[in-house]
Amino acid sequence: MSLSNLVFFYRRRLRARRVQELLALVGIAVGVALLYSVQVSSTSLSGSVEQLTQGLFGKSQWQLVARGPRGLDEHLVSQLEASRDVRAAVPVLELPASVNGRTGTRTVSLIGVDPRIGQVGEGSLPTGYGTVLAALRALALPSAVAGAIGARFGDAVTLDVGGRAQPARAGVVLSRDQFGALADAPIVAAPLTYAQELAGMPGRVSRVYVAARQGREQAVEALLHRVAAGRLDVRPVDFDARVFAQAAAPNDQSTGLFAAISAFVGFLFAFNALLLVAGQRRELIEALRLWGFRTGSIVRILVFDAVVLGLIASALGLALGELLSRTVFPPTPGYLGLAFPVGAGRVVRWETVAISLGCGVLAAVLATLVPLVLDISGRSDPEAAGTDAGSLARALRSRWTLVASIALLAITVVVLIAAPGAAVVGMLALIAAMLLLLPRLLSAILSVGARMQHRVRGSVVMLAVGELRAAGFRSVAITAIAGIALLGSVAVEGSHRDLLRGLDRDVHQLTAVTDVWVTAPGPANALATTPFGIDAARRLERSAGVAAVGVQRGGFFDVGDRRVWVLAPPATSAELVPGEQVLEGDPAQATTRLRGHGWVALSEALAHEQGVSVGDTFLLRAPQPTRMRVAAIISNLGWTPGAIVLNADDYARAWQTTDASALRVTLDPGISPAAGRALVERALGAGSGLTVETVPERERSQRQVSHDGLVRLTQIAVLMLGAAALAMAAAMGAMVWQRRQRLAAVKLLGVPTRRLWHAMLLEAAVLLAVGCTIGTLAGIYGAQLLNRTLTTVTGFPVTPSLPIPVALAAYGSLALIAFTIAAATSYIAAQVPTRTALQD
Amino acid sequence: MLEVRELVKEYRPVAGESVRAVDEVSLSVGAGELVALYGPSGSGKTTLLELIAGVQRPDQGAVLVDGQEVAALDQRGLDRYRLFTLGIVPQSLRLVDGPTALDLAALRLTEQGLSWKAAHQRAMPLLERLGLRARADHQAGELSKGERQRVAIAMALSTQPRLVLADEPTGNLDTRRGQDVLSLLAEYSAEQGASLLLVTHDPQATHYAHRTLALHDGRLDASKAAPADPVPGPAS
Repeated sequence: MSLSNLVFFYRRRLRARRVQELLALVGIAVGVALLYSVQVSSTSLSGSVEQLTQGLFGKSQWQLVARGPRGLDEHLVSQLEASRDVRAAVPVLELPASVNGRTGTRTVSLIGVDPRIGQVGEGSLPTGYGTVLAALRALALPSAVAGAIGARFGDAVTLDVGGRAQPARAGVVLSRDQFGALADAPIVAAPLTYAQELAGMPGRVSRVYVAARQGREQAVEALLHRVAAGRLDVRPVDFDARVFAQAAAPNDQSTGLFAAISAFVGFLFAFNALLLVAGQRRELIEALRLWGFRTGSIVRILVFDAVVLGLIASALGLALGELLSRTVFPPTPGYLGLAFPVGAGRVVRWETVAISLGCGVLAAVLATLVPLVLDISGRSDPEAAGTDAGSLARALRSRWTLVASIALLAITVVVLIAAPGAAVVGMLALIAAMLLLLPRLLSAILSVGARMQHRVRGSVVMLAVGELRAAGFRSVAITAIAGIALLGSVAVEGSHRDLLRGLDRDVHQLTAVTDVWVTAPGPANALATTPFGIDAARRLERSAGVAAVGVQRGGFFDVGDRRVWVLAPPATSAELVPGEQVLEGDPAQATTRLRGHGWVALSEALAHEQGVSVGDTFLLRAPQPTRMRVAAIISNLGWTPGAIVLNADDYARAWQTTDASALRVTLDPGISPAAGRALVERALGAGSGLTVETVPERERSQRQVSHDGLVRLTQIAVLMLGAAALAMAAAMGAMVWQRRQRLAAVKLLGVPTRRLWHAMLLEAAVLLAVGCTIGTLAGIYGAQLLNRTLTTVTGFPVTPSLPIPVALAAYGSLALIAFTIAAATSYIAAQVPTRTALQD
Repeated sequence: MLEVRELVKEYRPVAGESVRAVDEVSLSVGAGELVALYGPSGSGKTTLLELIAGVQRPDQGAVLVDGQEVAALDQRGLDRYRLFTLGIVPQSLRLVDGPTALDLAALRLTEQGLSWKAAHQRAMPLLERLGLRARADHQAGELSKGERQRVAIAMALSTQPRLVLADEPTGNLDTRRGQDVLSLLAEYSAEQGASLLLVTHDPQATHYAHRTLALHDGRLDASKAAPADPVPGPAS
């Protein structure tokens, strides 16, 4: 069949079903929008890290990286430059910092570079300004950072770095026009010597980026390993992006799964809308067969319809998704921002667009063809042509579907107990089982309704039950929307709340170990990973009201592809690892061992990756490589890439530093935390650059970070409910609207308008109750599946519970919104003029 | 008793001239009388029925049923009129597919306040009379067109209305079933003393009608109106 014929058929049929096609279009567009916006949000985070490396150091191949916050000696650079194989060696100082302006504070990486960066960068910082910036004691701020803190050229700002508050000026604002993606990066740049001065690290750098002369790559790599001498790391230039991908994977996996569920709701919306025209399409298939068309031609006609619909809907979905990703789902680095320079810029990859577009078209094709499979294959019941109650509805109530749904539920049990890594399979099996059970459940309820209808006077129950039985597959599809939306929403939000509870518990256990905390400032230091000088501890020890000061050390540290959190509490702590966090080994014995010399506790995934268990030896590749023994296997303490715990003295030896990352201040008896905080602030003096917090304050700031990073899950759950409510209301409204002539006929027979309305309300209530109930139950079960996956696969510290409040809230809101909209549309439909009944 | 006085209904299209679908029609149908109304397609028969059923309002004239003007009824009054006074058999009634034939036949009775049990007891003999006993428990969606048409007749007559309007009630039926239906309608009219206006193309209908009227271009054609031949039906 020629394209012109296909277009001819399409245009002729479109005229008769504009509204239905529009509904399908909206459904697919909603699904595509959700899929696109969540993907953009995820790729923007990883893209931001990649762009930063690419923009600044993209022309280099390796980096020589210091293992500790004190960095490496800058003189190593001249040693590298002396080699004829090295084209460029660029020293960089990179430290976590906070920059404060007139209107706000922003967590950034302070990047100190010298003019040599031009030899390895692509986007390149304004090195020409280096001398001027140094002379002015000024910083280069990306426009995103400058905007966030309200700083313009020449404005005074304060930089908190290394536990010191340093005054500086905004010297250059890096605009998007000149510097591309760097304008969105969470950095402040400064000439190297000035950055070293700000950080109090003269002559020290964090890493050296190295570019080899062409063909000399292997020789340079060998040279770097010789220079590193086992005390520094030699990494590929894109190492940070790789480590970031590992850290972001759990978050990406969970949001990806939830986005897929959301997209499925959108697909069902479209499916429902296309069911409205399934009757017409059946008649068309019958007619085409009578005219002698072959199955191939019929399929081509239907697929052409679907592809046109899919393309238009996907284009609309991409536009909507773009809007969502800018407003509802902006990239939120959350806890990942603690260890990575993650920007807020949006990165849209062609793969994202292609996947969203492909899914949209596929959804349209499936939604068009699936209800007509039996008709296309010529195995449908001719009597059912033109009606809703097609063979598919009957097929869905067969015994085989019951067997299949039980088998699918069995798969979910296996996933729950034995294979939590297969969460996606488990969730899909749960969704499929629920979808297969729905027709049977609905049919059973309607049978009960049919038996009950004669006990109630009047026609309301009879009309409602009769219509629902007649609607067949469409009734099932509407309940399926409610079911899937609630399953997704309750599972996502239930699991999300359990995760937050788990994180909060961890935060509490790690925080409520002293009276007052002293740390370097800034939200990026929520895990107390920024070092500062030990002088503050000495000052505090001499202060009245202070009973004891414990020095805690720690920071981030790369082990393989993991950026793990190293926590080194004082050896005198009551518990070095909270008992509940110990997964293998005896908690009391673990604390005893950790207090002694040469013991570490490793998080589960890290220990597994290193192939060690309790009692084994583990080489800690710190600046001073040290062989340690494993005292216990612990949870990841809320930091998904993993955690290492050792005592502060061992840390000082291995990292060759006396700096603290936090001070634990114990107050004299009778001094309140608030009064204690005040006296500690006084003892430290103004301008110390350190933050003093009571336990509740510190818990609050830590919680804020974890909650911010996971807020997208709540947004998805809410959006999913909203989309489902609209989808259900639209589908129910369309279903009611399509039968206006039947409604008019019943009115003609003397049944009052309000009775018709009541019958339609009853229909909506039945569909909502069935869909919402089964969806909620499946959602509660789904939350357990996700919890198990988050705990065992991603290592998130989940506190499992039955998400009853979440389930009730989701059930109530979906039912209320959908019922209200359905009530309004059915009220309008009930006003149909009686004469409609007499029209052909 | 039905009385139609100088009834006029005009349709005014957005473009073009207005059309008088019903043009000064006056007629009456007495209690127990069956009147057959003939006319070609587009002659205004259905519009006339719609005006009598209160589905449309006339531009001029009046429809009186037992002395009550239909156009003067409010919505509540119209609902009661259709439920208690009128029984209408449209040309093709799109029924709800889910309920059984018996439930549909009993539907209006339950709306009148009867229990389903009592309504079923009243409706069943009607279905039997219409040859639907064996199909009483089948859902409407499972019935043929002819069976659905007979269910619609059962629904109309179940409440024993004083006025019955039937628009081509035998259109979907074979000759024998058509005769059965006409016979039933005639019997009903006679037994209940109901006024029955029958719009039809079926030549058999004249045998059951007391009078025959012809409608042409919205006007009653007096030259073609005639008393019916008193053949087999109860009208004789």
